[in-house]
Amino acid sequence: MHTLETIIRTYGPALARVASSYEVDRALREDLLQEMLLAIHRALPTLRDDASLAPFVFRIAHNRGVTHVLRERAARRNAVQIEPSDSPETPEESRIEADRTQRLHAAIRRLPLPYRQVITLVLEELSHQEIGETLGLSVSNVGVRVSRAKGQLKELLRDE
Amino acid sequence: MTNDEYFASLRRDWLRDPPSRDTITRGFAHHRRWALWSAAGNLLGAIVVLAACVWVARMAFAGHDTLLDISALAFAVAVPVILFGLVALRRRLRLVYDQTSLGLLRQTRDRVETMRRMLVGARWCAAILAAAAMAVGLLAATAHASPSSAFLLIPLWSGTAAAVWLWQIWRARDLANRVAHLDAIIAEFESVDR
Repeated sequence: MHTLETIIRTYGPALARVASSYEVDRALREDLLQEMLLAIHRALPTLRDDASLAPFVFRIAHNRGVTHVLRERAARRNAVQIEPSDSPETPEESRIEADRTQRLHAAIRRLPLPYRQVITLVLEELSHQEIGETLGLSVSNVGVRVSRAKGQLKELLRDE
Repeated sequence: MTNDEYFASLRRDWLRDPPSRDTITRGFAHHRRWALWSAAGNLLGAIVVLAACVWVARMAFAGHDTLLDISALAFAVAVPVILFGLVALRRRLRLVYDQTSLGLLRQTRDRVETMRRMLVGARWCAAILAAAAMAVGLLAATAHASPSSAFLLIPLWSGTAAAVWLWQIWRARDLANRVAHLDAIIAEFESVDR
C-alpha cells in the first residue's frame, strides 16, 4: 500500500518539475504542485496495481496541470513568459547553468500540451511503455509523439 | 527510458537543483489543512443559510404575517442559488484525474455545459425576488404592510435580484469563455497525432 509520504519521497522533485512545465510563476507553481499532490492523495484509494505507480502519479499530475492551464488561459494569464534568474549574485558558472535550465523550462512550456507531456516524461526517464500507460497511448504512438515533440523543442531552443 | 543523446544532454539541465522533499512535505501539510478548513467553512455556510431559511419559514407559519410569508418565499428562492455555488465547488473537486487528458477535458466540458444549463435557475431566482419586492411594494401601498418594513425589504430584495441577474450574466460569459478554451485544448490533443 502506497502512502503520500512515500510518493513525495519518490516523486516529489519530479512532480515539482512537471508543475514547472505548466506554470512560470513561482507562487502559482507551488500551489499547482500542492494541488497535484492533493489530487494524487484523493485518487490513491483507487490505485490497485502496485507496479503502475509511476504512470498513476504522472497521469494525475499532468491532468491537474492541464486543468491548471485551462484555468489560467481562461483568466488570460501569460504562461510562457521567461522567469528572471532567481539569484543574480551566484557565481558565473552556476548562473549559466541556471539560465540553461530556465531556457529549457521556458521552451517546454511553449510546446503544445500533448508534446509537453511526453517530453517531461522522457526527461523523467520513463520508458515508452510507461509513457504509453501514463497518457493512454500505444508504444508506437508514443514514439511518434516523442519524435515530433523533440523536433519542436529543438527549434524552440534554437530560437531563444 | 529513451537512449537518446539529445535527451541525455537536456536531462542534466532538467534534473538540476531538485526541490527539497521536506519543503514539499511541509507545503503539502499546510495546503491540506487549508483545504480542510475551506471545506468546513463551506459546510458551515450552508448550515447557517439553511437554518436561517427554516427559522424565517417557521416565523412566517407562526405569525401569519404577510411580509414574513414573502420573506420565507424569498429565502426559499435564494437558498438554491447560494447552494449552487457550493454544489458546483463539490462537483469540481470530484473531477476524475486518473484518466487520459482528453477524457478529463471532455468530462470537464460536460460539467461546464451542465453549469450553463443550471443558470436558468439563477434567472428564475432573480425574477421571483424582483416579483417579491414588487409584491411588498403593493402591500405597503394598499396598507396591508407597514411602510417601514417595505422600506427595508424592497431595496434589499430588488438589490439582491439585480445582483443575482448581473452575476448570472457574468457567470454565463465566464462559462462560455471556458468552453471556448476547452474546445481549443481538446482540438490541440485531437490534432496532435494527425
